[in-house]
Amino acid sequence: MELLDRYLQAVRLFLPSSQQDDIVRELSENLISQVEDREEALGRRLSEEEQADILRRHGHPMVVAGKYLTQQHLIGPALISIYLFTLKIGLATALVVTALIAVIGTILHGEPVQHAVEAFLAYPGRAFFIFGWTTLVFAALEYTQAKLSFTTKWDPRKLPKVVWAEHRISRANSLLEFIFSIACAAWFTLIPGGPELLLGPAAGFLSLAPVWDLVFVPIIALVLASAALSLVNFIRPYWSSSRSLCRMAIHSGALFLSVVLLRAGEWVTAKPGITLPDGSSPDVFVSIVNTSFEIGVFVAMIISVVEIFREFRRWKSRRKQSSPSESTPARIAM
Amino acid sequence: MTHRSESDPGVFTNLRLELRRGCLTVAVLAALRTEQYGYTLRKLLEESGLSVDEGTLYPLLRRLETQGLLVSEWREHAKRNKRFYRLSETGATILAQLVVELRSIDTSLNKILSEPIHGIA
Repeated sequence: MELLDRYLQAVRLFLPSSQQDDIVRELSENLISQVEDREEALGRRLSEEEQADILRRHGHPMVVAGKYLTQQHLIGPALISIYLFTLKIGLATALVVTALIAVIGTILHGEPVQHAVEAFLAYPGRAFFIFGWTTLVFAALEYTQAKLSFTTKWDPRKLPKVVWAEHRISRANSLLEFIFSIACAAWFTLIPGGPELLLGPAAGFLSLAPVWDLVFVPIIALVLASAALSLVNFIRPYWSSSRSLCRMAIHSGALFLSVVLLRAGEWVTAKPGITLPDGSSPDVFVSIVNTSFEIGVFVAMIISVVEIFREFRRWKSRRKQSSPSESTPARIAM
Repeated sequence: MTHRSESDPGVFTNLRLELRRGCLTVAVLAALRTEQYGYTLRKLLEESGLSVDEGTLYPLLRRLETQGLLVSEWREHAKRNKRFYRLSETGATILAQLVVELRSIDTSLNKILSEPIHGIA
């Protein structure tokens, strides 16, 4: 019965240690009974191949042992959906963080290709870290799931409101908006200490006008508010009235800052006592840059007005659709 | 959306397994009104037309014992020690309830199957 001993040894390896002896003893007895019955029927001892056939039909040692485990899966059906959702959020966050590190690194030190390559190489490690920890935490939750009651004690009235297809927000867009907003916030934060980030080489003979000291902090605050909204949109990807109002508030803030900037009339000034390389006065250049700024701020103002108007219409339309009489199940986003 | 073929044997096998899983528990509890050890129990089920592989039966016996529906003891039989299982008092009560439930399902199913097929008007 060498084959049987080898088989039982293999099964034992995967059994819970507290039950190994008992289960193996029982399996052994039952398999021996089976072999003896077969031998009695044939009137001879079984060949090695015939014994192997009985064991093969009994099942692979790992599968046989697995059936004795009380928990046969790492994450079960009750938690799998929230596990996958958390994993997606975690992996996307790791992607955002990686992209931000690359963007900030590029802003601070240049060399965008090097930073992009570093980010590309760093992401698998971060993703694996997120995957490992998320899986570990959910496996622990699964293990203690009996103590959790959220799948049995829940209130259907607390489920999210119905989302219409046209209210859906693309998660990819939200993610890009978030990355772009954070990069902009970082860029604006660095401009007061390094005006060349805004003015380029012209920072050698141009200074930012005093109005910028007034608007930098509000601009950064608005951009961060926009980033926060993108993050919320990423997590809950559908428009709601409150989020429309937030968006309108952000565009109104941008409009207000555009007006403040436009009223200043001057956005850059020439540094005192500096002439251009050809010996001429930088006044003409200052005038060209100021005109460019004026056009830019004016365009930004118009964009803000258009966006406020569009968002207001969307808000009104969403409020109308929220009323039960307007409900059309066919348009529910699935 | 993809549809698996009606003749796909995998679909039938999975559904059959699902269908048998619950019935097997009832059958094991019913068979263990008389004391049996694993191998003889398996043979008894097989002779009754309900063949079950060892990999399913023995873990099931353990689970039912853990749930208090079976009791077991190691005893010498035919010069070898074997683990004998029998229905506990709790097991007998649960078995009675399960049989009522099974018959109720059977009645409902027969009723549904005997009704003429009609579509939605």
